[in-house]
Amino acid sequence: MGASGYDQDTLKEYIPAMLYTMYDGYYIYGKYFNYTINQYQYGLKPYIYYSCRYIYGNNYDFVVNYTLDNSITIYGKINGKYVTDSGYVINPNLVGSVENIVSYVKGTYRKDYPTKISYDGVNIEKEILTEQLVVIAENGVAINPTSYEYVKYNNQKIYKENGENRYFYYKNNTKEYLSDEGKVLRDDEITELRYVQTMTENGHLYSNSAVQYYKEAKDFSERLKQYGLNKITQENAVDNNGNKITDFATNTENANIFEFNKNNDPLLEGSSFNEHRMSVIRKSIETNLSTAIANYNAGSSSMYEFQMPIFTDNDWDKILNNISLSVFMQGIPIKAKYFNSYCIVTNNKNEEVVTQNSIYVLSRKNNVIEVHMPGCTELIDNSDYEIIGAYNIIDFERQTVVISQGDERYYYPQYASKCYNCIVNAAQTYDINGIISNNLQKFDVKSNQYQKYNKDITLLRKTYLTALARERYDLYRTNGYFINN
Amino acid sequence: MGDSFITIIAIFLAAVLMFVFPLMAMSERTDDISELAVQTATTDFVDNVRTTGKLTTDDYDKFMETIASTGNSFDVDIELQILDENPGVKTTQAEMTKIGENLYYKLYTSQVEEKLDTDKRITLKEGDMVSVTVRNTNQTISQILKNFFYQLSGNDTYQITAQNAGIITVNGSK
Repeated sequence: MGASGYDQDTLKEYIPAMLYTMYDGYYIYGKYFNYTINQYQYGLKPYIYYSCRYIYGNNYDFVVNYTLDNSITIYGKINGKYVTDSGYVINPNLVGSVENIVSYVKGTYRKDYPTKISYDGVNIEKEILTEQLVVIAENGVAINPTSYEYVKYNNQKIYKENGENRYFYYKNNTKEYLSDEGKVLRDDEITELRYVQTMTENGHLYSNSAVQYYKEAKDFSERLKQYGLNKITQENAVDNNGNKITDFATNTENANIFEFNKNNDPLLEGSSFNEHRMSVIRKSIETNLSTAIANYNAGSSSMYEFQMPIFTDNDWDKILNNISLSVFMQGIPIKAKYFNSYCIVTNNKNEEVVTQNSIYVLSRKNNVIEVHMPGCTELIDNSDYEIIGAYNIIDFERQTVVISQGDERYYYPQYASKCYNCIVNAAQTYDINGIISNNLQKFDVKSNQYQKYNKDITLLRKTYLTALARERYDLYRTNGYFINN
Repeated sequence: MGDSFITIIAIFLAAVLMFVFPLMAMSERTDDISELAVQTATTDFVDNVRTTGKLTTDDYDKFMETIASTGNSFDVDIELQILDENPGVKTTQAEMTKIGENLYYKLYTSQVEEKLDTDKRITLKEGDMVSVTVRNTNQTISQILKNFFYQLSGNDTYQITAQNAGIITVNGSK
C-alpha cells in the first residue's frame, strides 16, 4: 500500500471476515478456534448452502437448498417418507409434451432423446451450436481459428470434425478423438459417443440440451406437486432450532412458494418463489456472517468490537444475483476514531451460474454479425436484424493459446463485434422479464409510465429461451447427483 | 508634521494588521472548508457512479446542489470513458498491452448533460471510467483580497478544486 506499517500481517488483524458467495452456497473466511493446536487461526469455514428448513404438520420436515437460479434440491421427510430430489423449477403449465424423439437402439438397449418441446407459445427445438477453436496440430503448428459444431454432454464439450462423422474433445489445445476403433471406451465415453452419433443428422451435430431442460424442469415441478409441497408458505420456514422465521427481508405472506403458475413463475423476477429464495439466501448470509464477525472479537487482541455492517439494498442486490466477494475492514484506529469499511466485488462472467443477463444474442445485418443484449432496442425495434443464435456471455471473451514462450494466439469462441447501442454504450434496453413472459414494456414519455409494446418477438424469445435453457442445462453441476441422466 | 505622517502610516499599518490580515486568514479557512466539502461530495458522487454503474439526473442534481451550498459557483467537468473492445476482436495476434487493443471513447460534460436530459440516466458497464473535476468560477473573498494585495493571481486561477476518478466495477442495471 505504500504506507509503512500497513503490510499484510498488520492489516489482517482488522479484517474480521471475507465472504465468497457461489452458485449454491458460500464460504466465510475468518478466524476460528482450532482445538487440536488450542489457538485461534485463520481459515476457510465449511461451505454453507443457501438452505432453509420447512415444517408442515407431522408429515413434512424437509430442507430446500436454493441456488442463484431456479435450480433447487430438497431432502427430508416429505409426506411421511424420506425424499431427496433435485431439479429446475418452472411453471409446468407453460411446457408442452416432448415431440420428435430420436432414439438410440441396440439390441434391447434403448435411449430416447427428445428434440422438440413447446414453452409458452414458442417451439424449443434441437439446434446446431458452433464455436471457434485454435488447434495445435501434431507438428506443433497452430491452425487459425476454425469453427466447429459442438454439443455439451456429461459436462463435456464434444466437437464434430467438419465434413466427417468424427468427434473429438478439445484438450490441451489439441483434438482427442472419441472413437471406438482400436480402443476400449470407458462407460461415460460410450454414452457420449452414442449421444453424438444419434444426434448427428444430415452431417450436422445437434444439441437437445434446451429441450431436455424444459422436459426435466416440467417433470420436477410436477413431482413437487405430487409431494404436496404446493401447500408450503413462508409461515412454514423454521431456523435450526425449529423456531419460526419471522424476519425475512421480503414478506411473501401466504403465497404458496412451490406452487407454480402464471402468478408465480420461477423464471421471472418478482415471483413469490424468487422473492422467497432471495430472502432465504439473505437470511442465511446475515445469520452466519454476523456470527462469524462477532466471533472474531474472541480471537482478536484489538479493543474494537467487530460487528457486521448493515448492507444497503443495492449491496444485497449485487450479492443475491452474482458470484461475489465481500471484504470487511474494521477498527483501524485513526486518532480518536476507527476506520470501518467494506467492499463488495461481483463477477458476472463465470462458469458457475447462468443468470437472465448471461445470454448475448447474435444477429446478422448486411452480412455483418453483431452481438446484442437480448433487450437491445436496436435489435427489437428494427426488423432488418436477422437473429441467428444466442450464447453465454463468457463465449465472447478472448481465449489465449500459448504455442511457445512469446508466441501466443488469441481467439474468440464466438467471434462477433459488440453492438454499440446496448453493450459498448450500455444504453437503455427492454426488460428481460418482458421478453421471457412475452410482455414487452416500453416507456411512454407522454404518460410518463410503461406501456405494453406490441411487437412480434417470437424469434427472439425462441432464441433467448433456448439459449438460457441450454446454457443452464449444460452448466457444470456440483449438486447434480440427484439428477438422472 | 513628520509625527502626524508617521501616525497616519502607523494607523494604516495597524488597520491592515488588525483587520485585513485576519480577514484574509479567515477567508482562506472558509475556502479550505468549502474545498473539503466539495472534495467529499465529488468523491461520494464518483464512488456512487462507480459502484452502481449508472449516473442518474437525481444524483447529478444532488451533487450540483451540494457543491453549490458552499456559496460558490462551480465549473464541473465530467468525463466518461467508454470501453470499446471491438477493435481487439478484429485481430487474432496481438498483445494485450498494445495501444489500440482496447479503445476508450469519451463523453464530455455537455454530452453527458444532453444525455441526462433525454434519458434521465446513463448506464455504464464494467471497465468504463468516470472522472470528475470541479473548480470554482466565482472570486471568493480570499481571492479578491489576494488579488488586491499580491497582484499575483489572475482571473483564471481557482481556489476551490476537487477531482476524483475511477473505474466502474459493476454493470449498471437498466
